[in-house]
Amino acid sequence: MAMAAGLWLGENVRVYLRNATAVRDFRVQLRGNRSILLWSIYLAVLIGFAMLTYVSSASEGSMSIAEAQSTLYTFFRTVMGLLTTMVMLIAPALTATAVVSERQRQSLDLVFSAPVSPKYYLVGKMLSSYRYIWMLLVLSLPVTAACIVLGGATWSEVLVSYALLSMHGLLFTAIALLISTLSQKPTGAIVWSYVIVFAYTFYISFLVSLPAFLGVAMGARSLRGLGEAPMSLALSPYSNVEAASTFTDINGIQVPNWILASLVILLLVKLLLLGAGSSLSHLGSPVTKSLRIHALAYLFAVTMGLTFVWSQVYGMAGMVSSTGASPAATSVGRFLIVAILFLVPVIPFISCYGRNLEKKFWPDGSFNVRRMLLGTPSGGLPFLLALVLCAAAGIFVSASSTMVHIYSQGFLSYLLYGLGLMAFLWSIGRGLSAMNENLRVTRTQHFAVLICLLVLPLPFLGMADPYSFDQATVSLWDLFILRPLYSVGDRSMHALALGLVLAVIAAMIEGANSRSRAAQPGEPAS
Amino acid sequence: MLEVANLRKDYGRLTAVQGIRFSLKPGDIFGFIGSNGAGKTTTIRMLATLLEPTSGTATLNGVDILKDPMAVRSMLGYMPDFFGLYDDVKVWEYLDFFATIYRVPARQRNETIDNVLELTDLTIKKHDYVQSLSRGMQQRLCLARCLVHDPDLLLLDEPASGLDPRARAELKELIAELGRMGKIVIVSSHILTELADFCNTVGIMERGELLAFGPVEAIIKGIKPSRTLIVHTLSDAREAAKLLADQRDVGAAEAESADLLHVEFNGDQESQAELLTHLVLAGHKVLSFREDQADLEDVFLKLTTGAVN
Repeated sequence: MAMAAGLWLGENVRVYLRNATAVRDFRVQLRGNRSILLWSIYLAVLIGFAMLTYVSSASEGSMSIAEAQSTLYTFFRTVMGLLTTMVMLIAPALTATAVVSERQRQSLDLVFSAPVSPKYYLVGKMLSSYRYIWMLLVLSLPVTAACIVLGGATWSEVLVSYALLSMHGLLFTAIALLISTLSQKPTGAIVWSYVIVFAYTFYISFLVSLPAFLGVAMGARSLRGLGEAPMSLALSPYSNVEAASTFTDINGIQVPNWILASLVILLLVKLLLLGAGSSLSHLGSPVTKSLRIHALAYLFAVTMGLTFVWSQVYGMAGMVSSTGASPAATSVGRFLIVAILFLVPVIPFISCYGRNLEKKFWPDGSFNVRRMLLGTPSGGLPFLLALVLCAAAGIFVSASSTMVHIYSQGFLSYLLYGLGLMAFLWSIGRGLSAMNENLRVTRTQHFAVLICLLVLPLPFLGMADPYSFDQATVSLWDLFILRPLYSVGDRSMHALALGLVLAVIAAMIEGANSRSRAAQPGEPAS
Repeated sequence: MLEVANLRKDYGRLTAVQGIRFSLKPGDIFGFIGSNGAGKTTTIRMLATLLEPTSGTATLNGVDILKDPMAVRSMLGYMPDFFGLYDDVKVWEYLDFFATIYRVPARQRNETIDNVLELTDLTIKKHDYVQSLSRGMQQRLCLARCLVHDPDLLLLDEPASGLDPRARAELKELIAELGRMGKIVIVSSHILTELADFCNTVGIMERGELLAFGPVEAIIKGIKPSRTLIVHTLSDAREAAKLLADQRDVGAAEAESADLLHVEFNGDQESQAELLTHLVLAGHKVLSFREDQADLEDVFLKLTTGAVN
């Protein structure tokens, strides 16, 4: 036991503290005048911006102490906002080329012919980038310290804001690292890293954090010391300062939101690193298995947590429509579909291989539960269905604990609809895989088809038939694949029927795919 | 000891390597010969644990490449047919990085780096940037990288490609030295005459199949059991052919021209010397008497069809 613990400790010291990849990258980063120049520009921009902001604030003439404090607090928030923007811009730029450039240089094979695990290598890459981000944060301390001296912020506010910002820096680094392992070219890696980092920031800031912020801020006298607030506030990189003093009440214990947000971000970072490790590993490697197990567990936990929050905020009774036609179970069912729709961007990565890549796995079959965690084509659908079932289980457990009865046909109908929907979307990817040789072309086409099926119909249907959206009568909306979501009334029977139809179509498409693969000259039937 | 047992790699119905088997002992320098696409690199990558075999396996000093790839990696050095060097890194930093990931203890690292630099004759370049080295030096640096952890097996994929004759000769000498140090060296190459110089074992591969495996002489003898003697005389070659045709161990003797004859001979060196004596005593003025050496190229051309090219 003690020996195992010693080995575990030794291995972690080697990975996190004596990582050769991090040392080598850091030597290169700090070599020559390049770093000094970059840091000088960075500091000049930061100090110049801070001075301009302060001078414009201070030139407003005489003001009361409260107004002065508010102005200085705004000054602190502005400085932190600028720092956040810099971290958002620098973290992906530093990390996005880390792996892809090694792949292009063909040095990855050299590294992986040594006794090096993907974890060791990725942690090294991450550390070298993250250490650089930390240096930028440390360099900015004199500017934020000025806020403390002037009375705009306290030490605890500054430190907690920095802790949150560094967590976001870690998250952006992990995102860029994952994209770097998936990309073929450095330019693509940089562009996609920025797209995802900005999309995440936009989504979290405007759709998740802002409503929470407005809800709390409206009742508060000042943005400072908001007190109890949703944890999602701390997930936005631009709410670091406001979230610093907030907490979540869990059974009477006030847990600071920055701690909760840090935990969420660390779990997310682990998932991203596992994804990156999986893409660098062999088929069925322990990393791929770990990634998939983590994904299932996270989805269960997230849906359980979201259902709990939802039931606390709105109450299950609030889920019942004004007509009284929609029982809570149906609403929970719809909630399940909304939750699994977040899995849609992942489907092309699970279902698409392209003929060239797929040859490596033949004969693999269409559906094999035992390969669910391996990453082979036949394990894709079982894994997707398992994700849906985990989401349903999370919702079920949470809803059951709130004493809401959801054992009804309504929830099951939506569950079957969700399973059918996932199978259908997966089968399209398999179909495209059978038609194309190239993996990237297949994935791009699949993404395009998914957007055409799930997003594009909405404005057209809205314009063509705006009034029958929530009517029981037959309408153009019935052609929409997500129709069961778009109505207030009880649509569980419709959901059940549509789910079965989609499952049958999926089976037919996959049957045709198998025949098409068998018909390829020199290629076996799956 | 390296033992390869039924190693096979399929891509769908395309079989890249068809269940090859061979074994090598310490000190063996194994030349892997084959056309482009024959399956040499696939085999080497499987042995380097970078590619998972479809079936079969290999063991290095009793450790299975599938069951414990990390342990196998620590016992082998892999040099692909590209350099994969890092920019902005000095020679010693490059070797230090690999020494660290190969878990060479920190206190031994400097000494190890100095040793491999000396072995590869790069000591004076220790503090230079790798991108400033010539191609030959970069190739030697890659070999030095493979040696930092003192591996038992070296996998060298086309190590001489793109090198000038001097660099090639130096590399050849270095590989021969590694063999003398008791390492198993697997070298793949297109340049067959080069392999014959320093390999004691060769394997000829085509379309994923190992067509021949064994010591160079044994393989040559396998495809050509009788030797051909070429005799250049100043007297009548037809007379000499008639004389030799009746001798012991002579299969056939034919005059190619007025002064040149070819003799198919099955005897040993003793009877070969007696044959020459007999010819001279019979009054023939012999200008030269030599064996027509079959080489690896002849063997390769005879065994392979060039199908993959």
